[in-house]
Amino acid sequence: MEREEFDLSKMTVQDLFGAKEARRKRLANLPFEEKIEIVRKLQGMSRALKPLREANTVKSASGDAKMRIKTK
Amino acid sequence: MQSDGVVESYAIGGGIAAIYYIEPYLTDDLDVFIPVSAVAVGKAGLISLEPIYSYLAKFGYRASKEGVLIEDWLVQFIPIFEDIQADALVHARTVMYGEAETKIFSPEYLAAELLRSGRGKDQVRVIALIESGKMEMNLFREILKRHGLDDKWNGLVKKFELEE
Repeated sequence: MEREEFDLSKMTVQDLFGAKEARRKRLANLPFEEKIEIVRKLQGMSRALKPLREANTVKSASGDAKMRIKTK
Repeated sequence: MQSDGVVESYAIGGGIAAIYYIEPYLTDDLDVFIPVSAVAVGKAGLISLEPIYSYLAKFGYRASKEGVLIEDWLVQFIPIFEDIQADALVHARTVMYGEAETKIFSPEYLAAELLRSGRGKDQVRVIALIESGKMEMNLFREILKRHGLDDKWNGLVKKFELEE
C-alpha cells in the first residue's frame, strides 16, 4: 500500500480532514480479500499487545499502576 | 456445510459484512447467521449448536469461547430469531472471496440489523455504511418502516445530528 506524503506546515485542518476522508474511501474501495488481510494484520497487532493489556489490568486492579497526572 | 445439508442457508453479517462495504477495522469474529432449523431446540426452548459443532469437529475445528475456531477465525453461528435477520438472510448478496462464493447481508439490511442491535459500535457502523454511499436509502427507509425500526432511526438521527 502506498503512503501519501504531506507537508504538514502547509496543511489546514480542513486539508487534514479531507485527507482522512480520502484515505477512508480508498480503503473502503479495496478488494474484499485485501481488506480481510488488513483485518488479519490488525488482529495480529492486537494479539501482540494482549499480554501488555492484561498486565496493565492486573496492575490497575491491584492499585499498583503508577499513573501520574501532571497539573500546573 | 450447505452442500452437506447441515445448514439450508446462511449469510455473513456483523463486522465482516460491514468491512465488505466500508474501510477495514479490527474485529475478532465472523458472524454467520443461520436459520433456527440448523440448531437443536430443547423442550425448554434452549437452543444447542451441537449439530453444527459436531459437523465442524469432523474437520478438526473445535469450539472456542462463544464460537468455533476455523483457520484462526472465531466463527460465531447465530441462529435467527429476529424478523429483520430472517429478511436479511433472504436478501443476502452472493459475493466472491477469492475463488469462493459466499453470502453476505446487503448494506441496507446490514445497517437495519445493526440499528436494531443498537450497541454504540453498531450505531457507528450504521453511520459509516450510510456515508459509504453504497446504500440505497429509499430501500433502507422502507426496511426500517417494515420492521418497526423508525423510532430507533429517529433516535440515531437526533443523537448524531444526521441529515435526513
